[in-house]
Amino acid sequence: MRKKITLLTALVFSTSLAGAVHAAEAIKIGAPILLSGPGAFVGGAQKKTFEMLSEEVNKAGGINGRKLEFIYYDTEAKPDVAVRLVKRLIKKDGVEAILGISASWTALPVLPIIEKAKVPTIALASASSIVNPVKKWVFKSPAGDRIVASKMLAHMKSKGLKKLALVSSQDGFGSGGHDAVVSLASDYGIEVVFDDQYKMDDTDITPMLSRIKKTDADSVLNWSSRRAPVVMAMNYRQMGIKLPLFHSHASLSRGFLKAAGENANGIVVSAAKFYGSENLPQSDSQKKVIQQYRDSYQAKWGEPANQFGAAAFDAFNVLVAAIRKAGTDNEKLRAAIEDTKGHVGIGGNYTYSATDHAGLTRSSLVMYQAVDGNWKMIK
Amino acid sequence: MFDTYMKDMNRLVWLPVSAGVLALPLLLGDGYYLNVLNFIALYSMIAIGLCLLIGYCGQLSISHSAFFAIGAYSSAILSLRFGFHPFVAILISQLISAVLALGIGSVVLRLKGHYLAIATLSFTIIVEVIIVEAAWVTGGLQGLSGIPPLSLGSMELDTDLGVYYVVWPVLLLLLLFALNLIDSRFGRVIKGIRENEDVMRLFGVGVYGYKVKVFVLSSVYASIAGSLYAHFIGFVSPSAASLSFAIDIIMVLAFGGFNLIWGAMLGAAAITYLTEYLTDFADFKRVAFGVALVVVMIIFPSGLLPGLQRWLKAGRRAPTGAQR
Repeated sequence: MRKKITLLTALVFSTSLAGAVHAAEAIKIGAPILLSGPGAFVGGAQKKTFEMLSEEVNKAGGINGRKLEFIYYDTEAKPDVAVRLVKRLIKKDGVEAILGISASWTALPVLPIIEKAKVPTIALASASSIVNPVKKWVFKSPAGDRIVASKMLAHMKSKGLKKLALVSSQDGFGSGGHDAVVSLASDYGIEVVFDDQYKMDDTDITPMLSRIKKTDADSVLNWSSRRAPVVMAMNYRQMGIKLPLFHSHASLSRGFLKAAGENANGIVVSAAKFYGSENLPQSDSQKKVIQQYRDSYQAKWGEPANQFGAAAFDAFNVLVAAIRKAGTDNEKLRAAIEDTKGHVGIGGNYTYSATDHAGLTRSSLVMYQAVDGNWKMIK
Repeated sequence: MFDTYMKDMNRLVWLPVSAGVLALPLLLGDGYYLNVLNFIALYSMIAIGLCLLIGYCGQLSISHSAFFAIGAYSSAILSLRFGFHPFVAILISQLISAVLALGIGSVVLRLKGHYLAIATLSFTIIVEVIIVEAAWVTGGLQGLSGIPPLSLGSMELDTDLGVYYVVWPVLLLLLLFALNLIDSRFGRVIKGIRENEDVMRLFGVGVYGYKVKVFVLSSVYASIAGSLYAHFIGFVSPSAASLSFAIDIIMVLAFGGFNLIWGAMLGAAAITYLTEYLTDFADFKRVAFGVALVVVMIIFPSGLLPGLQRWLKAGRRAPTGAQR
């Protein structure tokens, strides 16, 4: 009887192994992204973008006759799940490239696996630590925290602000921004006079904010993502703090403005050009790309696009251009991605090199201010 | 009655199972399935430990994710910050876990039933809070990454195959230990405690001492799994100590059967395999998972293995193919 059970278990396992071998003409691309929980809109927009773009490519006959096949997995915003799924994409599904990992804190533990398996990857998460120090096989498309921070600090300097109170969330995203601001501030003649962290899940941070009141800060910068910026914006107004409030680029979404309501008014962020792109001058090379993406996304899905989907758009186009040029041999494909020069995307003009896998510079960023439920570009 | 029948079977089955497990990669080669099997081994360790405590001794504890996390974090911190060899770090971690379990166990095991469950649950929550707050040593919510992989001499066991030949032998030894333990005098005493604590006390058994011993042992099982996990994945985060993980493990036992060591293993295998298989269903994963659980609970209310056994027995009793 016991043997029967062991046999049964063995049988169950063997069926799983049989499915592993499957030769296909399609180019398999793995997309481990965040599809559930409070950050689901991030991965949701990325998945919709990939679906839209790969459909277009496949309708046009694919790349050199090979169609694109995306494999989507939900990382559940958990690092260990991401590790398991990336291994699965590489070993079981045999993907030839990876576009994904939506959130910085789930991306970092995955990097060593990608490096070992030598799979060309373009990350959709923004933390500079993903590509700094440079990982041979990993690139990223969203603007990193270092250039976002330097754009913001330059803006503060131009407004004559000198003493900054910095609050950030205790996670990969918050700490990345925190470290960037702290290390760059002195270059812009700005002194960080207050520096504290809170948790992404905190629902009340008024005690921390009340301590800012006691300092001589002339501006406040909040670096956090998901729900935290909303809590921060509301508590900030509740406390009646009148100092100019800056937020990281994670707040640049309509969802944030909706949730924070009029508490968001006046908040300034530095980010890639996206919202308000219709007001860009015709001479701006990015304008056409951004407008096209926003229009086709709206037409296809009946909802407005967001900048997380835009990161997916850029990553997809960089990868497809590289595959067209070099095929799917991993060494050649990696070299082709690294060779990308002046690719006009939504996030800016991507120019990768052996020493820079982030590809963007400060010049591709603009400043936004929240005005009555809209993000307006400001000087 | 059933227990006496199991007595000799256990050790008889252990040998071919071990041989089969160790030979598997030689037959099938390297592949993704090894990754799945490694997770099964780790979950089995925790499940077996918990099975000893809940299934055999009858003490409901919700602190196993806490000890898993303590094992994982101690090992990670010792090897990452103090430069200990992973295997040395794992050994020291078990010592830390055992001492903590002894301390906690000797307090909470004075409680019974629901009170014990609540006390252990509180401990789990406290451990998670400490891990998040003590960011200077634990990395806080960001967790710790870059934990060195297991290594033998200069050879790093950072492949699934390498890890397989560490975690499975460890699991098999822990399994044999557990199987022998439940057949020993110690095992009979703890089963007696499960059935009727007062009668055991009447026999002059130091019930409390036995409970603490099983609790420590069972916590160390979870902690060993945690330490191995840390070096296998190379990353730990506070979610290791989360309540939902503690409940997942109890679910593994409910799935496989609370009262059988083998059931704990089958439960771990079934749950891990199900999670893996359902990944293909993307958005429907959680729904499908829930349905699978409900179906198993309806068909086999006492768990997968006891249910299957009954089913096979029933089949044997009616060899002429009698229909019901």
